Amino acid sequence: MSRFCLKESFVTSETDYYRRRDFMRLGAVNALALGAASAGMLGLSSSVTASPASPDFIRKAKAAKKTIVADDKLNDFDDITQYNNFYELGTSKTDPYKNASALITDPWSVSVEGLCAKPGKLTLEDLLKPHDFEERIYRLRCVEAWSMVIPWMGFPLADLLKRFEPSTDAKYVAFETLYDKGRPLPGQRGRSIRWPYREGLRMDEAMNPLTFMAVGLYGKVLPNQNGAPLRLVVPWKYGFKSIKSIVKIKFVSEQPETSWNQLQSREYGFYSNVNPAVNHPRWSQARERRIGELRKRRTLMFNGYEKEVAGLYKGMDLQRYF
Amino acid sequence: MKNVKLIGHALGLLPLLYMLFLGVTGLGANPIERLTHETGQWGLILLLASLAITPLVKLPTSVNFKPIKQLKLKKVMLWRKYFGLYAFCYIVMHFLIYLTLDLSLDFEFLIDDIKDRPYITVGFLALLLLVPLAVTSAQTLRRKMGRHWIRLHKLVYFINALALLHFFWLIRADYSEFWWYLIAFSLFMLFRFVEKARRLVRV
Repeated sequence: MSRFCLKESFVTSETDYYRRRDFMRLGAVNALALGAASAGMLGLSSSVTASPASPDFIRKAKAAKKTIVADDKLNDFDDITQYNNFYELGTSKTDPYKNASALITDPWSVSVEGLCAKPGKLTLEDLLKPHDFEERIYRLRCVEAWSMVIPWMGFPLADLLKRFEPSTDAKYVAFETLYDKGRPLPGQRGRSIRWPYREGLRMDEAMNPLTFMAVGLYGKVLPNQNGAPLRLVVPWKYGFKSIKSIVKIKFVSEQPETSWNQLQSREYGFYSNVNPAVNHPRWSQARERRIGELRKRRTLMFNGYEKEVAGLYKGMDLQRYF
Repeated sequence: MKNVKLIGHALGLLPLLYMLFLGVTGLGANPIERLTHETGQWGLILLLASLAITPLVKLPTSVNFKPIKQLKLKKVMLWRKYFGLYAFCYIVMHFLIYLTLDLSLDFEFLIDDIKDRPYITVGFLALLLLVPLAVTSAQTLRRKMGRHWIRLHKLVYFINALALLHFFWLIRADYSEFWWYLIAFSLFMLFRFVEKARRLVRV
């Protein structure tokens, strides 16, 4: 079904990692043959900026099962890694790819704070240790009205959060992206957004089985420009809710501040559920351009995950709580 | 004179060559968005460039310095027309990409967008207002219309402002590029206000 040769190159061994250019070339040939993004391949060098995979990662990646699939055609690796919104690495779509090496993901630690029984600071290794990986193919709908279909690798956010035993007072969970004032990332020198980037979910949203913590893409270590080493994926919300390169998780009782909402609350709500009936004040959300397609397609309610998540918002006025 | 014409056309065609180059080497993951942005951006740049000509010709020639006088900069005034017409071409391309690929030629969508999306409203108005300017760009018409021609073509200041507003309303967070366009436009307009004020004082 998948047009990418996942079987052969599913696991990143050391040699495969260093031979990634060959892998990419193979990918390029495939894409060319299928007539997708043919011109795009010629201009940009096909290299990936990602940390090498640890033995633990390789073992789990090999064992990862496909738990959620989509009928949609997958976007190819180059599109997913060369067209990103990651303002920490620059505001243009190609900046994150160009500046990816500025993000240092090793060593990495995540601070867990707030209303829970087991707060603390975890190294990435300790954080990942108890979790097996699975592969999930999710649609990603950007608030800018484009979309992609992406094979993530990771584990449910709920499995991670339960480890810290959140208290009953914890109604929300807040996340923060890396921000080192002394050594800002290229995009963090500008003040387009108030750094660090902040996001948050209501507790029941965070615990929903669809909510995912991704550490990989196409069976490999998550490339830096996609939010390495770990990022949220909330497929029924606009892409900016899926915060990248997480360093802090905090359980709180009140709705936390979120970056785009702080910047322009009229345009970006806390919930930001994909909803074709609620337009961005400046542009329509009724349709979207799937990357790789010529014409726009209709946007689906909750990005097509209505069955799984509509219950979370029962009785809520979604025009008001957009 | 011939050279001035040639260079003017070459400058106006450079963005097209650049876009063809991009088409061959790669327009990225979202080629339609890229082409929409490129055609719109070059349309705006050429519109601004057409406003730049008058100050760039008048400021040096007002200095009483022989080598500058010998340059015969006035010939370059012709570029206002060239840049304006090339800008019109890129903006028409910009609109056609949006109409065919974003809206799938659905005119109901177009009407909805013009009604509901302020950035489309001003962008569309700018395009409409450019039409009479492009149609009356011929030298013979200019002579025939006399003072009316000048009055009509002053619309280009307003069109430029609309184009800037169209751009401004599309930005999500990073205004750094926009400020350069606004500064350029402000400087070119400032020159015209100062000129007008000086003329009034002299009278």
